[in-house]
Amino acid sequence: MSRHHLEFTLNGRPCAVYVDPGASLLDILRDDLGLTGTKRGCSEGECGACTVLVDGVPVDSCLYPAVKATGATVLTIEGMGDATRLHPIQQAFIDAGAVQCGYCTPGMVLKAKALLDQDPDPDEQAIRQAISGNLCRCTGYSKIVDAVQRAAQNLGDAATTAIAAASATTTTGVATPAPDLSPALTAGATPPLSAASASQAEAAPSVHSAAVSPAAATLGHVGTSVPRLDAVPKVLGEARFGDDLYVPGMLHAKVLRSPHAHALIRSIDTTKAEALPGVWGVVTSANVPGRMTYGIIMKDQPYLAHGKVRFIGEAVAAVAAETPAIAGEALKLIDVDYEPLPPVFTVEEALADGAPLVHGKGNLLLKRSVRKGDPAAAFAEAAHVVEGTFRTPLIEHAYLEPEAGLAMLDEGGLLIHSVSQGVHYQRGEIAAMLSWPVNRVRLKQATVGGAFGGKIDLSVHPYISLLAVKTRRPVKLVYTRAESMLATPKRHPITVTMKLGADTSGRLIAGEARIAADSGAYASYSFAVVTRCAVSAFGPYSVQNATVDAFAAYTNNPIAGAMRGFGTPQLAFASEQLMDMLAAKAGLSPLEVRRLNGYQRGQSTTLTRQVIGDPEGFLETLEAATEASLEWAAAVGATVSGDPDTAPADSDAPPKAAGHQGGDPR
Amino acid sequence: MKLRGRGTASIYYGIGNTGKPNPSSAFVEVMEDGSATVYCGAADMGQGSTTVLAQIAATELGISLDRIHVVVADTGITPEAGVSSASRQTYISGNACRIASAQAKEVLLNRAVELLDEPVDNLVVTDGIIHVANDPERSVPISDAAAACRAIGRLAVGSGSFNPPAGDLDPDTGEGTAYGTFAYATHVAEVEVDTETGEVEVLGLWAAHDVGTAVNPQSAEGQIEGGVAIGLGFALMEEVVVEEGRIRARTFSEYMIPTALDVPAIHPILVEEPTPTGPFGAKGLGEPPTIATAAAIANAVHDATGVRITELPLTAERVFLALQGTRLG
Repeated sequence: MSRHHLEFTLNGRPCAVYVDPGASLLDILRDDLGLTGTKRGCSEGECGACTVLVDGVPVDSCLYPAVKATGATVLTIEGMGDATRLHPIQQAFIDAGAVQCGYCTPGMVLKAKALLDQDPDPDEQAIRQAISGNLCRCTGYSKIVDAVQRAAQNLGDAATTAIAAASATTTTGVATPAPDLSPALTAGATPPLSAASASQAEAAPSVHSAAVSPAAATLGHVGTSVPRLDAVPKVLGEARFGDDLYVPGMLHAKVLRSPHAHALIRSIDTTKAEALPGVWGVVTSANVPGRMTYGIIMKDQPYLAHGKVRFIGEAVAAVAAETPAIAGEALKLIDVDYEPLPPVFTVEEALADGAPLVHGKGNLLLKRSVRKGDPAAAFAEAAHVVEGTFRTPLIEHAYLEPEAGLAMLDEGGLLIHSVSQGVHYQRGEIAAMLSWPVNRVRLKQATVGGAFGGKIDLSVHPYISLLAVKTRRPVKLVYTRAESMLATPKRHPITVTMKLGADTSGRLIAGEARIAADSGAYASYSFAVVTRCAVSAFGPYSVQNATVDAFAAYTNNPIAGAMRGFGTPQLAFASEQLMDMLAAKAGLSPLEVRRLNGYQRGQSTTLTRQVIGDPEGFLETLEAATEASLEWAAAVGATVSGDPDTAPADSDAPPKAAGHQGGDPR
Repeated sequence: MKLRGRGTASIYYGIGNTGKPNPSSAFVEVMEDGSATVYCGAADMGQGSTTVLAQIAATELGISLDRIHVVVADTGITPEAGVSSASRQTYISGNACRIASAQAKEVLLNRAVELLDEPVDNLVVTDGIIHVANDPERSVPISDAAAACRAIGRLAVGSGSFNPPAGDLDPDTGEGTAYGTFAYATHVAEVEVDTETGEVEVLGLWAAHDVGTAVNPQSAEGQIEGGVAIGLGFALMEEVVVEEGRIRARTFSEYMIPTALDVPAIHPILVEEPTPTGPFGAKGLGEPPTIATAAAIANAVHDATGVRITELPLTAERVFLALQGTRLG
């Protein structure tokens, strides 16, 4: 394969590099030139994390052929500013609080630059349109939009100042511009580097914070809106995520995954893979010296499939090789002899008599119950009863950063530098797998690009650890987006059948719920999710007579585990719709039914009969959200519905369109 | 026809693991120049825990934030803080950092007692200066106090741990102390439903959250906005379709998450009801913003159309069929 000699201008400097014909611009930037500020999120041009500017135009560098950049001017995040001189857009991202995990940030900053170069004063819709090809899973985009607006303002102000300064004096200040200097910067209007910049100090303390003294605000104490401490490296593209770690002699790992939902493994033959030039090691469950299984609550998941596979995507073997391509070739040379078994794909099937067993025992993973008072008697007395069955699907965390990590032998132990939501938990699992003392495994979290519960369980960790120990070389593994979606735990699909009973006034007196969760092939966090569902079933309301049965079943579906909310978003979808249905039956507004039943100071007991001793802000949230939304409605002249008693008295909004009074199907 | 509707949903969320011990710990060291390093195992995945822990330590020590360095999530250096889940790090690790800071500060204050000849109860720390409460002129900088400690063989270090008051739940009835504190939230959604296509457009979302104390209000707002966006995806578009155990969509072109054009204006509202057991009154905020959104949107769709949809996501197809009186099969 002949390599192409590529010459282009990179961040203001001439650059020459030899590239493979198939290489993307992203490959060259990251792997050959070491510019890791440009992120790889999906490799299909869908997420925008790899955005760079080519001749001022934003492109997805993961799809952009490197050779196409010949003669072009390329700007990456490293060319926007540096630690002594942030670009005004970077400063605006810090000031607006637009940086959270930071994985989308470099692409967003470049997208913002391309927009502001074309349109110095974009409206909100133009900004949203411009960044719509760049995904962010952390911020909800609000503060990113705000950042771009602030940047436009700052750049505009700086330009005005520069013009004034230039007309007043013959000197223009800065003599040695950094690459890609905007006119504002060359005019000496560089914003301060300090995270607590002038504009930030002005903004703090936030209007929302309670009683923060001016001194506390200056000091960055509790109650103050200071920028996050890692905001500067993140806007500069200098934060080191797992995929940004490169060490000399590093090998690259790939994982062979099961194509079967349920099958016995008769044999695994790795000899051909091991003989492939460039391959340094192959591991299967036979290479696990210690405990064979892991799990944050129940140790039921093999590090590498052992005797059997239980879902499509389960790890069966892993390879370390000189390049990712060789590792990928080696996977094809591993022969796995499977004997397919009958699978189960629904909770109902799994719990039926005679169902195929996912594990050696029954498919009922766990059950959690709440029993309180006398629900049968209370329902018999109830004036109003509502019920329904609600279903929610399997949900992907969709963090922008795919799982990544690097493991190496170091100081007589093993050092793992990787994604994590809990280093001590993961360290313990790896030590048990290796049968090493826990203190000989060191797990250091790399900068993590979003997690939302999805990076609590092990991902790359066991494979890079086994391979680093076996090959005695550093081993890095980065999941593809498809692999991340296939192999890691997700939000539980849950079916909730719920019934609520109230007295004539609409006060809840009884609740009943049956909560069925599909845990997929392994337990992961199901114990915590199901337990939380059981004890939180009816939301923030006093229910004195209740029966709740919540359970999870094993199936041969993808694994469900922890995801932001631990089962309660699924429950709220049921219970809060029922509360509205109850309100309608009792002749109350949605606000009234919640106000009537909501936890109040001094009288609150939960489903578990825990007396809540703390001060409580529940009713305050109810009033605050309602009030703010009504103010908005009044301001825009929107029709206010649902809560006529709280509608502004002067509202002359027309009656709602037909259909509003439609019957409830249940 | 386009129909407008409004929906409300309220939630509560117990902070920390349910009915189980889930402790955290931290170390704090105050150096001879008055700067301090905090060591805590809490993983920050973007939610901002490292900054929050630094603010808590700075407040307790009485020094400015820029004098604090925080080292997190490295088992070779930091003590265990448990997993960053269950919305627990601000509340639990925040307490651990505060306790460790207080212990290090106590060493300095005890030295200041000797240097200033005042009882410890009369001493306060403001911006790195230990001074007599009613006589600020009589003071000693923390740096001098730390150096004076060293001179007589004392080091200003502290360690702290905190385990929320939660106990095992009865296996049959669920009875017991499930959590140390509770967070509350109410979301209101305003939607417009196109009856010809079934498309649901969310025009605005109001999210009021009781956070106890907002350690960092801007960061708290960011948590709310991001959580609401995940809730909006859950409500309207997201579903991992699994056929015979096989995930069909494995790319972002097939598994859609909200873009900047899908997310409406989100209005975060911070309600502050300090909890006595939290660090400076703080609760947790990681998960609550995601929980109520889909329910609020579903209630808004019902308010607009009179149709109650019991299955997520509320795709245009599902809503359209529901409006026609049929269910998506």
